[in-house]
Amino acid sequence: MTSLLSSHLEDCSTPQYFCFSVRCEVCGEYWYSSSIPFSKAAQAAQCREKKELYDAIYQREKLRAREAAGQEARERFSQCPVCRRLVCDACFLICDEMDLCRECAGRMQEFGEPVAP
Amino acid sequence: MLNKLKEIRALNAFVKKQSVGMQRKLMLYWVSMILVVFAAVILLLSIAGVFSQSDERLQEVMELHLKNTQDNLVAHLDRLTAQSLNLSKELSREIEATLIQDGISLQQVNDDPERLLKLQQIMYPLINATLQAADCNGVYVILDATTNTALAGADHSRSGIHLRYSNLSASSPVTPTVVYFRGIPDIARQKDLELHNRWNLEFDTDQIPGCRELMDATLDRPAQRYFWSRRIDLKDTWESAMLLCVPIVGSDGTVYGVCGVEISALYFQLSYPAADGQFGSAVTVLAPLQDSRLLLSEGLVGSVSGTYLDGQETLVIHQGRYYNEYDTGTERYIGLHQIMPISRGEAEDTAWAAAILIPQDSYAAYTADIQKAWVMAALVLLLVLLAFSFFLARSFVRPITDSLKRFQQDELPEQSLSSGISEVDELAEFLNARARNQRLEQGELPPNIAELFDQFVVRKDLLTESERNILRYYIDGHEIAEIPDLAFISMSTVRKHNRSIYEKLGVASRDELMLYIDLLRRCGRLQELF
Repeated sequence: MTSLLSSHLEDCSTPQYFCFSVRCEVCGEYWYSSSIPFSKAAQAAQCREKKELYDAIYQREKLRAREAAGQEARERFSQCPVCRRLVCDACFLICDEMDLCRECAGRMQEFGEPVAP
Repeated sequence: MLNKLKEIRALNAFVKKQSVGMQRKLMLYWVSMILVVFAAVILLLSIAGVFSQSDERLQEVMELHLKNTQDNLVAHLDRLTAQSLNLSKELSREIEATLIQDGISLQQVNDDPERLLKLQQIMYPLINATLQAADCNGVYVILDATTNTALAGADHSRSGIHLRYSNLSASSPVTPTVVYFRGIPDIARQKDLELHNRWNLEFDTDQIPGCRELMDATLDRPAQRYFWSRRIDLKDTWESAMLLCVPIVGSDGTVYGVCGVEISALYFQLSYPAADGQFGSAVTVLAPLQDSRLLLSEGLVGSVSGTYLDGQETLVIHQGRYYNEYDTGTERYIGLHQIMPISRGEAEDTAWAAAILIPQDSYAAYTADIQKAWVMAALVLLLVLLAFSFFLARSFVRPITDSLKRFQQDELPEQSLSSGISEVDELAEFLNARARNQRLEQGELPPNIAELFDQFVVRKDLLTESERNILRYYIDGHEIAEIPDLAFISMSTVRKHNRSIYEKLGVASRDELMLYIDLLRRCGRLQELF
């Protein structure tokens, strides 16, 4: 699931903040991860001569922020076992036989309750 | 004998091998202890003299009675002796005066009826006065002279007077009739006295042992030598009596004869009635003592009512701690005796004893009543103690037997009831724990746990397939955090499923859920969840 989410994370980061988004493949809504500031954003802006150094630090912190965003997305996204799409909790229904995305459930006439109303 | 001993030993060994009930064993201990205590109490009581109290009381009563009787007898006999000595002096004076007046000696009175009559006429008032005054039933005087020396038996036939009361009875002791037993009948006619139906003119001195020797003696004064004869049969009569023999001593030391008083067996009986007490009738006896024998046939016996005595027995004396036993050969009497001197200067040194006798039968009946009361009290005490021991043993063993019954009926509650004995409770707890362990080892569960598990398994049917899928991850040992990756669902979905699973299975937390799963796994019932 973690690797699935990682592959679906879209980078929305700026030089000052790290942020990632995941798009629900059913409703199309984006979910944004919590913004994590770059620790050396101010220094990087002032010391151009150390740009390579700060870039390296930026990349390292961004990798960590991506992992954190993946963990955060893990709370909210599931994979529909039928259509294999990544769906948010609002579009993922808890059904009796098997949890399905809203569309698959509708198609198969399975009733369920969304994880997040 | 040896074989029997072996059989008994084999039986004993067999009995030892048999298991004995705790209550019976405890009862045996209690009974043994109570018997020891009972024996100790009886021993203490016997040492304290409780059982010999009646003997001591009898001794006290008899000692007192004997003292009173002896005092009475001594006073009585002393009075009679004094009166007899006085009679002897007066007779001596009168006889001597008459003989001097006639100028003859007493030997010259032999074969002279006239002089003998004269002497007896002189003596009669003195004898009669003594009879009236003295506490006796007869007074006599024997002169050392006879009417006819030529007759056969003249050597032991002596003239004299013997006055007696004839109609002695307990009902009319005040007005006895005086009869003329011995003596010249002229005096009886003169004094208007009735002759005794066995009257004789003279005394037979051989009938009175010691009389002849006393008359032959030479004495200074009468008090020098006098004695009571042993009981003799009065010649030709059915009566017997003791005679006090006091010499009539002249101024020259010549013994003119013998005088004294008579106490007949009947008179003594009337004078000394039997004293009825709680121990039986006490008979007063005055008899010679010879070789630890009391010769009743030669002494006097008081009233014998309430006893089997007839006054002719010879009693063999057995000394005792509290009292003596007097054996007639057929009957036994208990009592005390005391030697009392009643004669003086007697040639035949006879020891006289005053005694009190009580039939042993009546005393045995008295003590039997007391013993019966003691035995009854002891039996009641023993029964009470035995009942007490029985109830103690039963109440002690009851909690144990109740616990055993519960064990036998497989009633082993988790919270076992207290038996009141800590060791038994510990044993019950131990057995409970062991039984629980055995059941767990055999895959069994305690009844209440099994019920909970059954309910848990039944509730599992309420789960949806999705929830069962999540539950399977838990059964496989996965943590919550691992489930999103495994099931490709969000953590929120997992949490939502969890809430539903907990609610449906009736558990409050994942720990409780995992406990159920673990226990079911141990009991081999895990497959029931699938």
